[in-house]
Amino acid sequence: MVSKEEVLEGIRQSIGALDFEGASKSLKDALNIGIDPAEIITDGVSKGEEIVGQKFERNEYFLSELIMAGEMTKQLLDILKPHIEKGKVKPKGRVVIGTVEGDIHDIGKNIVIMFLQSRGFDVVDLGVDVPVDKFIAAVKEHEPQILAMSALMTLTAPVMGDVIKRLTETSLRSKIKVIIGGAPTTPEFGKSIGADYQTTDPVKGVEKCLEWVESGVDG
Amino acid sequence: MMMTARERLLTTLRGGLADRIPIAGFDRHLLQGDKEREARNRGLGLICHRPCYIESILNTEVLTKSGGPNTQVKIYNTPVGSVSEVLSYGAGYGIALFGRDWQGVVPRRKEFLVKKPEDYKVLKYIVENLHYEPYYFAIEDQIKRIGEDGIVVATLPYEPMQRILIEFVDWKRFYIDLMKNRETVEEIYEILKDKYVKELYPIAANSPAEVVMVGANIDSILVNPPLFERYYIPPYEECAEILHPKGKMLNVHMDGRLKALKDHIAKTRLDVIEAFTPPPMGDLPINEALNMWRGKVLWINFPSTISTLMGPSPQNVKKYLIDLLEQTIPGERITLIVSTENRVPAENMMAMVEIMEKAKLPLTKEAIEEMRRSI
Repeated sequence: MVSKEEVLEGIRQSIGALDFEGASKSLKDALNIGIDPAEIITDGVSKGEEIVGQKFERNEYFLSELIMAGEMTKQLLDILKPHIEKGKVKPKGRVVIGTVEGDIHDIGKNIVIMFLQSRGFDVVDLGVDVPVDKFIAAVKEHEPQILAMSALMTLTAPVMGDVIKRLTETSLRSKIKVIIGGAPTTPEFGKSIGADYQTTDPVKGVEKCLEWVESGVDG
Repeated sequence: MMMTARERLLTTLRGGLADRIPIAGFDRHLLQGDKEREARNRGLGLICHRPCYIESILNTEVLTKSGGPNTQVKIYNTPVGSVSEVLSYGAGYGIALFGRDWQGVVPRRKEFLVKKPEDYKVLKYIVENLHYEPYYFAIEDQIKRIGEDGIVVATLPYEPMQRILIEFVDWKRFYIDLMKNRETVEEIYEILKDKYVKELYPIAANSPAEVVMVGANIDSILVNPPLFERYYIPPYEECAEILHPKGKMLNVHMDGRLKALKDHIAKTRLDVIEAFTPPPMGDLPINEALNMWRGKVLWINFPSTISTLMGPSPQNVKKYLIDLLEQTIPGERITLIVSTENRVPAENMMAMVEIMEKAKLPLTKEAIEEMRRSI
């Protein structure tokens, strides 16, 4: 009989290689030998997604592979769903995310969402062309630890500063961390508008979010 | 004797040594005003993109209706079924200047033609019924007007697969469909490519423009190396076969991250890499690109992160530009494009002009040091 570690490694490597059949076989093996579904997600599926992220970082994988990995994870979690005890798998944290008003580019934002979800975050996606008020309302409603904003156009990037300003005016700023991204942004720009972190690298962005929720730091 | 902006641009394009490194702006992005006039008097050239064809869809009824503020729904009724798309226009569309959007920007797609697998059948019909005719007036007219102030570039649609990815199918669906229904997507690609090769590229080859833009918005995140090799290089090659004998130069607007594609780009017969974007927005240093892509001319997109995002910051612009130029010594095969966006602060544009006036060719280390001392 295969060991627990071998089965989890099988899930990780299969996801990393985008081998859906291999991953679902290992996942079923994991359930058959009685591994807790929560552990399968944490030590199998999520770590497999990490491998995908590392390959993306190294330019071995691109957007098409990320989409494939996202689809694969969705299907694997569907297999696991009936076996998960309610409330046992808790999200690592909650992120509200959106592309700012005037900008409808969503590729970068969606890549970040895929990585956040694969690392156990509950993500509230506000979509694209999101007005300042909608960001504020979503922060009030969902009480996330993190607000993530994206812009691809230089002309729309300053809107992120408007959102941060409104967070301050409505006394919400101290309760959350703000991360921004998008091709035209820079660390200097992030600093100038009062963001806590800026990156154009989705993997680094998600690492920063993990660091924040794991250290339990408030905004 | 000092060259005109046109002479400078064309000399560089033809592999010669101009009097100095050209600087230019896309005419649709340069906002007119006193600073723009001063910049042009000091050597800023114009690059004007103009169409060379008219595209129509035969045997198809195209209906448009309002989808709310600044939003238009287009419905395509064909004998094999109907598809629709939703387009979002910029603020002021239809009310500014008798029907124009004040910025003249292209609409954005909120919904794409292909929403379900059956829609490919209709898309196939549409693509099969695309019809092209030459239309050279816009180019001829602009060539006359522009005189020695710049050049005119004939434009074509996106590359066949890029058009499917950007205009017909949402990117998320595109990748999944390409994995699960490759034959269906490839069938559309082949029809489109065939149409371009037989009808469209010959029209471009006979146009009066020296340069033809044959594709756009290449970024390795979106178009990975296997995709680029399989679906982008073949139409470039076919296009080169048709355009090069007529003396036309092939230009592709590649404004994304190109590091992962650099070997593939080197293999193509493209002549101009338009909007090459160096770090921090792009991921390929200019010296590496110039070394890899022998014989190709780079139209450098000055990163808007430096030129626009932080507002007027002429000192930063000068410093960045001098560092960038240093990497290009002896300065051959490049042209600086002010931006591919249209809101560059005038102070920053003038800072670029000031430095580029000093970028005499061949560019030397001493000239760079002199530029540094001057700021």
